[in-house]
Amino acid sequence: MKIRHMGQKKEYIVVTVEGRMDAVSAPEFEKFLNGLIDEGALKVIVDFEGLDYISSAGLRSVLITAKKMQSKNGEVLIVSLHHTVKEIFEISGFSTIIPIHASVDAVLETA
Amino acid sequence: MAKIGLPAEMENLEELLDFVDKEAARAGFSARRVSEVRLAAEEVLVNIFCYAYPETDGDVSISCFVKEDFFVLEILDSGIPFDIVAAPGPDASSCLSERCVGGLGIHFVKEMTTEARYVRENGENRLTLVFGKSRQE
Repeated sequence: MKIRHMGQKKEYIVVTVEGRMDAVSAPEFEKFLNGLIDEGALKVIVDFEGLDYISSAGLRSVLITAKKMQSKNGEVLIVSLHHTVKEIFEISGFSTIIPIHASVDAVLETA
Repeated sequence: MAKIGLPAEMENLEELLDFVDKEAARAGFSARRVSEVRLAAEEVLVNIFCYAYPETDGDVSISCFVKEDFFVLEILDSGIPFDIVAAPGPDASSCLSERCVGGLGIHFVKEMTTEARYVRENGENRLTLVFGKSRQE
């Protein structure tokens, strides 16, 4: 799994995640996002365009991160779900709990 | 029948899942379906790593074969009895608690498989996961 900090776009910090988020790599995602939150980030877009796979461990990390951000009155937005990852978000009902958008541009257009 | 056996530890997860991937691909499954098979296997394996051997170390083995148009995984561990098939799924209502995520893995196993069978014999948990070529089968 590869996580990349893509810089700031409007008031959002954009992060891309590629590869697989499973029980082994999910903690890395959590650590990265926690780092951003500790540095004061309040609005983060997580771009899953290149994410091919996510398991319940990955969903748990996404949820924990979203909750932590919410507790600081911030928000984490997930964008660009497709294939199995989109399927998993839908089956789990997570798409109704965490804000999901079509793309980074779609978020920025309405920002 | 291809088989792999390793200590039931998180550090072995990737190797076990790569084995499953390779065998499912060899059975002619699409990349998408292979991903679904990998997911079901991961959820079962992580459960075993976390709960099967509370006091000791132990192993897990995966055997796989093709039967007619189905790809079959048999996952075996000699840990404490645990029937993942009978375990409750997550709360149907939406929730923001980590507790509800616990049942998710089990839910995914049932969603991704055509059939899931559990049996306890000879001090072992034997979980048989049957996969059709697509999730709807």
